[in-house]
Amino acid sequence: MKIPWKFFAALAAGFVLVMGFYATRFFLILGVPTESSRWCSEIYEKKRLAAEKITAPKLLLVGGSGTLFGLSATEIQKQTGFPTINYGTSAALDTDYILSRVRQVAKPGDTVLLCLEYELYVHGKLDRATATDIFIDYILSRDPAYFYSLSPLEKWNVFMTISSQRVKQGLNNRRRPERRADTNIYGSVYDSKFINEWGDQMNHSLASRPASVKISDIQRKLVFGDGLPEHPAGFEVITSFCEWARANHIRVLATFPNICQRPEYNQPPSQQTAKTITDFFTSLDVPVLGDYTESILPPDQFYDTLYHLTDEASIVRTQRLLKHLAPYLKNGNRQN
Amino acid sequence: MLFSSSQFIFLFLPATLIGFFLIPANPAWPRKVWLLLASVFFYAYWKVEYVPLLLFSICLNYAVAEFITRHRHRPAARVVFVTGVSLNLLLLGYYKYTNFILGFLGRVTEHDFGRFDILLPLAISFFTFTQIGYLVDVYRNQSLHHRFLDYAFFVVFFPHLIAGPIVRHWEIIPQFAGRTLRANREDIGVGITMFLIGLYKKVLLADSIASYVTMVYGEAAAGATLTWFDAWLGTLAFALQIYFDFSGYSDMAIGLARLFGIRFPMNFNSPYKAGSITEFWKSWHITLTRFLREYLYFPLGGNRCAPLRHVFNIMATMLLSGLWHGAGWTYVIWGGLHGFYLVVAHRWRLFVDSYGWRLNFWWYRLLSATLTFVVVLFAWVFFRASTLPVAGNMLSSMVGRNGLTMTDAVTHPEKPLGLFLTRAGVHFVPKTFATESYSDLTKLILVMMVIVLFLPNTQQMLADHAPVLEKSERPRSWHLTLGWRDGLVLGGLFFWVVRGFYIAPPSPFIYFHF
Repeated sequence: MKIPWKFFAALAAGFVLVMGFYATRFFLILGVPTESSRWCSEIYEKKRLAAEKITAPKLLLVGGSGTLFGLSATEIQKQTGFPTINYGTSAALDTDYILSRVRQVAKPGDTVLLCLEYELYVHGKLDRATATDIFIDYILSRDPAYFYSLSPLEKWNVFMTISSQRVKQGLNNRRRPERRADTNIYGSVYDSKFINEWGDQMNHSLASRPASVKISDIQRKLVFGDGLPEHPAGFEVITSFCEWARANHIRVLATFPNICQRPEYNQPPSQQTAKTITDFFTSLDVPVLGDYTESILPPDQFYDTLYHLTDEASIVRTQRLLKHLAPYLKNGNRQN
Repeated sequence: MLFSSSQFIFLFLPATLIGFFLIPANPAWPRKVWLLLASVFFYAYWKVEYVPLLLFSICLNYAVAEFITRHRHRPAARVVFVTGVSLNLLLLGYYKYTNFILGFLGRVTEHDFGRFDILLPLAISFFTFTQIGYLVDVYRNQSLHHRFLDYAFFVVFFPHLIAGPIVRHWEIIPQFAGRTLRANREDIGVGITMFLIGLYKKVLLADSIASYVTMVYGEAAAGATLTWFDAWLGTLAFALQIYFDFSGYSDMAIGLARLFGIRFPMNFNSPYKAGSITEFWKSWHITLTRFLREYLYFPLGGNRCAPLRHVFNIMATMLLSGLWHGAGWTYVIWGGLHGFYLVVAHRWRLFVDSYGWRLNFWWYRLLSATLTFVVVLFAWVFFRASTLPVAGNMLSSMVGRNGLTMTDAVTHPEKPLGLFLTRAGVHFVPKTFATESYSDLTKLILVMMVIVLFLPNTQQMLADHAPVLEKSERPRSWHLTLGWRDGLVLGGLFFWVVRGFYIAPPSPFIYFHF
């Protein structure tokens, strides 16, 4: 039995039609807020306003939630008098995005202290294999401009990999915006009302640690024991950021993120990872503050997850950091 | 390179097709050489180191076959035939069963024989069986002769090379041994349709429940006590996964061959609709069943022998079928169970015939089909479980030794369904492992059950276009005319598969392990 040519034409047409239908739905959800992205969006907004309010040279503490929970801008400003903002949010947002947000608020004369989680060295620009759903959710709902700034290939990757549920959720929210939840999906402490005027996280004292948190779970996670890949994608992004900072008279410093003690961290693979990171920053003329072992803390100093310190521990860690940081702040930003 | 991977679909297949159509159809040999080279490349893409093994196997078997043909009716032909078959089996045995045998001997003698670091060459079970079949046919019909190019092409033609269908020379070689090798518009349309349907079965259905199956059997392997519901749902999900995975693969293979104008035999014919275990084996992995029947069961004596010998013949065939699937006791037990089912079915048929009963009732058919499906499910537990204790753990939950339990993630105990189930004796327990939404999962499984039980299969849908060598019954509905409507649906679904390439790498076909 002969098969008509229109069957073959319809095969191609079917593909194009479904793709068109899907693309329409995709573009309709751009910029439609979701409840799951609210926390990140609100804390970024709060931190941005706080940073823009400061006219003098300032210090920005940059990283994911390890910086948010693990360093105290309040303590740094109290000890040194140097205006400081904790610009840490969530490592799920990827290195390129986190640094792109810093570019928006950093001014000539400012100092940026990079305290990046180890994953942020591994991941670079938006890579759909590693980008989290949190990140995709965030940029589509809260920062479509960032989506539009991506290369055509990156845009295509996001378009092709977004889940059907996320598209459906976006369309639902477009018709009827989601109700603001009383507690954030990540836990009650993840709320912008617990961010103080220096951008620090509040209410994460040891006493308020949720009963459901098991310290053994925090300790079980091995962060960088296996070393970094041969060519970490994050290095390229960080290099580009440091070049931009230098061109804009912004000083960049770096330090290691807080992690929970494990015997593996005294072994050669971990030491090699720390050395690779130190060498990388040294090659960029970025001073590295302290040794990686200074950021390794006992399990009881963690609040709820890996990288998140308690209030008390973050003060101790910040004071330890200040020994290395203070000389730079005392001299101001004299770069260039 | 998987049939369902983007490299295959967007690079290898188009390049092979373009090359094929650029080469004139008459004479046929340049096209055959092209397809032969493409097939060797396809095999080498997995592991180039094993290409010599494949080529050696082809040359050896061709030489043996030629020797038998040239020395027909002489004792030497028999010696060479036995040597040739033994060499094939030794090669298969070395790669597939060495560590299994060493492990077994180690346990029996309480001595550690160690393990050899042997990587099972892809497709060895399939190309070995294809060639043993050829040698047996040459030995039986000693005037059989094919040109080397035709023989090599018959063995390595990439659509069937990796996981079948296990093809026989007399149904395949005549299709391309003539002066021309061509594919017309119908071949291409049917080929694309079969390939796409197979792809959808694999990517949209089988792979969608694979993670749940892995999770359930992983929990059982970790020693967790599964709920009765999870044990059954996990096993049902596996039964559907392996059906859609392997029949999807077979559809893709049949479609690919048809793209080059070659028809393959049918490999699946709605096995879960079977009314008896005998029917099941006539419709599940048909080409393996007929291979075992013709080259093992019949030579052993088939059913034309004493009852006890018949039982032995069935059991030996099915135990070897189990062992062919994998070097492990779980596979042996799976084969043994099916052998036992076949013996019981045969005895039952004799019993029914002896009383002259005619059981042509709809309820009898329903009852026997249900019973067949349930016993097949029990056997799948052994097929899927990594070890016997894992299978034991699954089965003990399935038979309710841990109680008639269900997690409250399936339905809340205070919802109407929950209340009904509680009254029926089901105990609700907290969720023991993280899984996706049970609601989505059960809906998907229900859809898949409807497809396997109530819809026509791929070759029936395409009956008007004779997609396989055998004739298929044309269904009253759900047949594809391959007009513009079918094209739109098939093309539209392809977009979802392409999306899948971006979301996760394609998972290998289950039968690639064999």
